[in-house]
Amino acid sequence: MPLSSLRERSIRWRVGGHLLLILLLIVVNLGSIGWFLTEQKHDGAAINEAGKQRLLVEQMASEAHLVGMGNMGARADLAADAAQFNRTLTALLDGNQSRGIPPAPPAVRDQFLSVRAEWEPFYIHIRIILEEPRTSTEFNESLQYIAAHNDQLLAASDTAVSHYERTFEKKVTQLQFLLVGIFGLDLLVIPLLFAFTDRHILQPIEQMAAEARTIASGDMDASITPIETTDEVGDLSKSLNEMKTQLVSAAQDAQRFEQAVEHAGHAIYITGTDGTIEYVNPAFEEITKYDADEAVGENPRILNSGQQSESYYDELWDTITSGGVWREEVINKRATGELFHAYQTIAPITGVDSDRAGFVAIMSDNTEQIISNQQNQVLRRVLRHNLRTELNLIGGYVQKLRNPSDDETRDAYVTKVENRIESLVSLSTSVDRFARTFKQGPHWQQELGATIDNVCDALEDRYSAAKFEINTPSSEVTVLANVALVCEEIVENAIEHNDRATPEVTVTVTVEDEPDPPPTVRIEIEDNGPGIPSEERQVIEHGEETPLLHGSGLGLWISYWMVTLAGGDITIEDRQQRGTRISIVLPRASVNTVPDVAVGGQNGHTAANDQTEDINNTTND
Amino acid sequence: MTDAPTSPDADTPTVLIIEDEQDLADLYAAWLQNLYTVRTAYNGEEALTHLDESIDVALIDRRMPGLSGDEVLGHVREEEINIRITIVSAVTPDFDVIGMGFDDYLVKPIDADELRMTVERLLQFSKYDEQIQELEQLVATKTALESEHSHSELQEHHKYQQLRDRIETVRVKVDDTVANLDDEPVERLFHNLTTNSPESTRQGGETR
Repeated sequence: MPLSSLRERSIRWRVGGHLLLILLLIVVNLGSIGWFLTEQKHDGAAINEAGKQRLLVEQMASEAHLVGMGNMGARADLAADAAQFNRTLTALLDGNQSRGIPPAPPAVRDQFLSVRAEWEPFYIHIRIILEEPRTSTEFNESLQYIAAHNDQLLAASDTAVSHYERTFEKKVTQLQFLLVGIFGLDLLVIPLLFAFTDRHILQPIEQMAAEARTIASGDMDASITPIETTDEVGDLSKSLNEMKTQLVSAAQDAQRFEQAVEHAGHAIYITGTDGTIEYVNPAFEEITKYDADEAVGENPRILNSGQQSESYYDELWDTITSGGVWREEVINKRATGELFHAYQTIAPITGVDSDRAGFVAIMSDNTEQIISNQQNQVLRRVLRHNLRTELNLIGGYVQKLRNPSDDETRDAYVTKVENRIESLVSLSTSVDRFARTFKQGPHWQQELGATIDNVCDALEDRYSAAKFEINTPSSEVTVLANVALVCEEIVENAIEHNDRATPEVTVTVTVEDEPDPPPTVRIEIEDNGPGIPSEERQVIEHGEETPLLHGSGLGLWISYWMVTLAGGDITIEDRQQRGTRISIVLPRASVNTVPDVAVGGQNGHTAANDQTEDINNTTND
Repeated sequence: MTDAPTSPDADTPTVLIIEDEQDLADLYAAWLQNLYTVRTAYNGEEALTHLDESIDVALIDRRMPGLSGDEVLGHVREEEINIRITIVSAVTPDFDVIGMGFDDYLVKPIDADELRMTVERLLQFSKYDEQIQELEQLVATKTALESEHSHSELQEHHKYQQLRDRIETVRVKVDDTVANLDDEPVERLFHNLTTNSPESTRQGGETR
């Protein structure tokens, strides 16, 4: 049978064919063994019967002799034996099913025919003996014939039996050869079938299994060797190839999304259903200053700055657990303790079986933008208010100058206009200065001791009458805020508005090691002045902006924002005798809130010193 | 507080200037002192001590340290002191001015003529019916808003719509009363009040 046509068939038919073939072999095997046994049994019976004929011949001879002697009783036996011999001989020649005797095989048939040839006259004589009276001539002649031909019949029977036996033995030998041949065929066909199955079914399946295992272990470059057949193996190979293509495409999609998330400019983090962080992208690390290792496993509340109410988080949780998307401006805290303004969206994500798989949060750091907006707004308002007021005055004065009553009046108004113009120039300078300062931010890092010394040195030069006392710690302490600006504003304010002949300012820096986290540093600025007016206190304690004409309030307002953004706190109290104490508490940058990032903190510290120099230079310009 | 040096007549109306910038307060005083009895207050607290029925018109700066102009105005309306009030401020009117109850709103810088005309106009109001005064206050608020916001911005704001509805309601009431008036300034005023709708005026505001 041509192999190619077999290959086109399906494995079901092929395996079915194999089974049928094996079944056929079994049937042939069993059939031939059965036939062999049946033949043996029948031929055995025939040989047995033929053997018995010999005995009958001898009996009939002695019975005939007895009848001849006058024993008439032997007649019946002789008749029965003769009838039996006759029946058996016919059965041996023509076969007798009921007695299990097959017709004589052709080779033996002649022998039995010669037995019959002997038997037929013999039988006639027996009948004469049985029928004729003992005294008749025929009777005696027959008696003699029987006695004389008895041996011949015996010899013929013996020859027939031995011939039959020989024939039978030959046949058995032939049958044995046949059986051996059939077993030989079995031994040939079964391994062939196995080899065929192995080659066309097992081997391809094993190969595909091995290739699939390689792919399953993550090697996407491994290929599935295509098997170009139309049977199930071919189908399987084709399906596996398609599956691999799909898998590669899905993996590429997933990789592309992963790349997108990894390179996104916004912080992205994914949490489980209980809110535990499972993934953060590099932008998250950059914005929050938490390493992925630190953030994963934590709750997003590590970002809680305390600036939102508790109900904010309840509301957030309610929204996202009921399938909604949370969008909100929020003030969060970095690992360094600084605060940052974030716009964040949090949305539930569902798994393939539409169960909730967790939440994804996307967060942008809007701090610079928000500060810039607030600063612009405030500057715009202050500028507008002051400009309009000054212009109102200048306009009024110019109107007066149109028709001056006398030279003295005119000179007075000209002076007034000049003063107003000067005031406008100073306003412009002040606004410029703050705009510049904020452009540098908000990523400040300054070392406290050196910064405060520099600021106070510069102020000492400007205000020679003032007395300074500076107490800074011997160790280096870095903070993430423009302390130079804050100190300059507050100290300058303390001296400017001091009504004493010798204004006194004390600046004390204390490293607070007690610690409820995060570790902090306290800066106290004390003066002996008249105290800060209530409206300016509002500025510094609550960040409220009031219309202040001379820009000093602007400095206080900016100080407030600087400290708040750095995650710190600023308070004002009156001193017991006289004067004011302003306390600023800031988180220390040189020690991080998370203990394991001491190395990162150390690096930051070094960078901080360089930057401090830069800022101080700028400030002193 | 500075009493005007020339206040010859006891019947001369009294104007109170409330302005924290002293030079500016003095300038306003200089502009007005030949026509009215002028008093000045340099902060909100000082202003409160002078705010009584003896004052006819008050000029209030909104932004002042301590007690703000808004709070001073609130005090006057709360105490129901019968004074005509104009805001003189560098702050542009936003929607928070609705319900403040000023009679006019001037944005700095202003000149002498503008200030004098405003005071004169407000002095006229004090002679009139309360309903017309309310109508004037409402229209002044609306006008102040329209000067600073585009038409579409205004339309989106429900408070502005409420303001317009209220103006319509008061205007209908005034209709009955005004029929009896034949005084020329009142007719002119009423003419202004009834025709001053956002669709017909302040086109400039819409195109900003």
